[in-house]
Amino acid sequence: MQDSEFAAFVAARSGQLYRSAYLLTTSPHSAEDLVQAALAKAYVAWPRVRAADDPVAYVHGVLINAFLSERRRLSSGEVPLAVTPDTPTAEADPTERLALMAALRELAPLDRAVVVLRFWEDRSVADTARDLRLTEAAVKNRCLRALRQLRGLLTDTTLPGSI
Amino acid sequence: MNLSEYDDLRDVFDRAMTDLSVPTARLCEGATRTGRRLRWRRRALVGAGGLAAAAAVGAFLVPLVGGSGDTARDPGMATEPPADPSGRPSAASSAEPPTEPFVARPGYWDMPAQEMRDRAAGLLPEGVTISSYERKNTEHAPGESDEMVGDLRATLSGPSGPGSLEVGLIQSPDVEPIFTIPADPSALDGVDLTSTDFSCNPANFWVKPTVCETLTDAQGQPYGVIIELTDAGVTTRTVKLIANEGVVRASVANSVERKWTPPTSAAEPPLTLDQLQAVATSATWTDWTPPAK
Repeated sequence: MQDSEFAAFVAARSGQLYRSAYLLTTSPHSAEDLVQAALAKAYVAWPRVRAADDPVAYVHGVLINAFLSERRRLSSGEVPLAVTPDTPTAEADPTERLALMAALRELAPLDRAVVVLRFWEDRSVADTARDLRLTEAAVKNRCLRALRQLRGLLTDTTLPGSI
Repeated sequence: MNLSEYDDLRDVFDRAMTDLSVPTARLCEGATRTGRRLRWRRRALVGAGGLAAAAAVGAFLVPLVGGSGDTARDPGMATEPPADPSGRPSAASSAEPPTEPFVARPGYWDMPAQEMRDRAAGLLPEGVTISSYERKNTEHAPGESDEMVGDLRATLSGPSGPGSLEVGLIQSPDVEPIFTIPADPSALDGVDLTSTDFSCNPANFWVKPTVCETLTDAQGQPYGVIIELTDAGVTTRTVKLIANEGVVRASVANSVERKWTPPTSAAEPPLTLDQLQAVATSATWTDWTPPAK
């Protein structure tokens, strides 16, 4: 296991992972924690990760599982701290991001994962169903429900365009 | 759902994620540090040559002992798809089960978590009990089962307060032909064992251990290690032993966080090193055999 090789992987792929985690958790701090957790697992299992047909997909899978696992853990007894809203930075206009995160936050975690996999990671219904251990019908139903909810939430904002 | 909905939401995601700052350096540093800690906690053996030798000698000389090292084959870095400039991940259509670095064989390392929990409960000193344990592997990688076998992750309650216990039963890969037990242990004289996970080489740790004792047999060959170290207030105690073509590892910590990070849950871990060693060396771990299929 070579740290330099792992560091190169992180440098190349952390952006993808972080953006997915950001959409899943809707918080920069939680996203960072989630990505670190997924990457730490990748570090431990590096020989297996690097031997995978698609190491990036492999780590994305670990990230999704870690997200859902954490959600389940929190929902089974722990009381989460209040979600800290994303704070505007010196980046491009954050209004749309803030609105999107607020809307995503309203979704059930599993519905959010379905939407992120389908519309951010471009996974098929079949792949999404497999990765989330749902039936394809469940993926479609959750997707429809989430889109309906997002549409209602986002049309109340000043978002350009619509969904 | 129609196509326009699909494209519109994609556009919203794209716009929202544009110019998002990514703390790459922090992610790498944090993941590496946590990964080292996890690897140290969970892996059994590293370093094929020296460790194989250590395992083989242990197997030859100590009745309980057998086993070998992790010889994860190195197939070379898989080719990755080119990064999408937008930062959008590639479609993960190829989430095939990863290549296994060794051939799985049935053995005591297949013991279900519930069975491990029952057996561990009988080994704990008076006043220390298992208050909960993980029944499923909720963080499995793509293609991996969520069944928890060979791995007990439990929360203990004890006089000093709550804490964590992990027991890992690990198959040593490919005992034959790579790890042929030598008829004459002297054949392994001169083998460098300092890089193995059973040594107290500082390179094996992310912080300096307060206790590190390599267990050796009559011939001076290592077959186990006892370690205690403290990081950010969390004390971790570990006993690892080569045992019957595998490894038994038992660890405790005074943290009930998933990664054994602060805050601490008690002043001390729920088991002393002696108590932990008694747990790790029990034959109850290795006398289990998988049911015939």
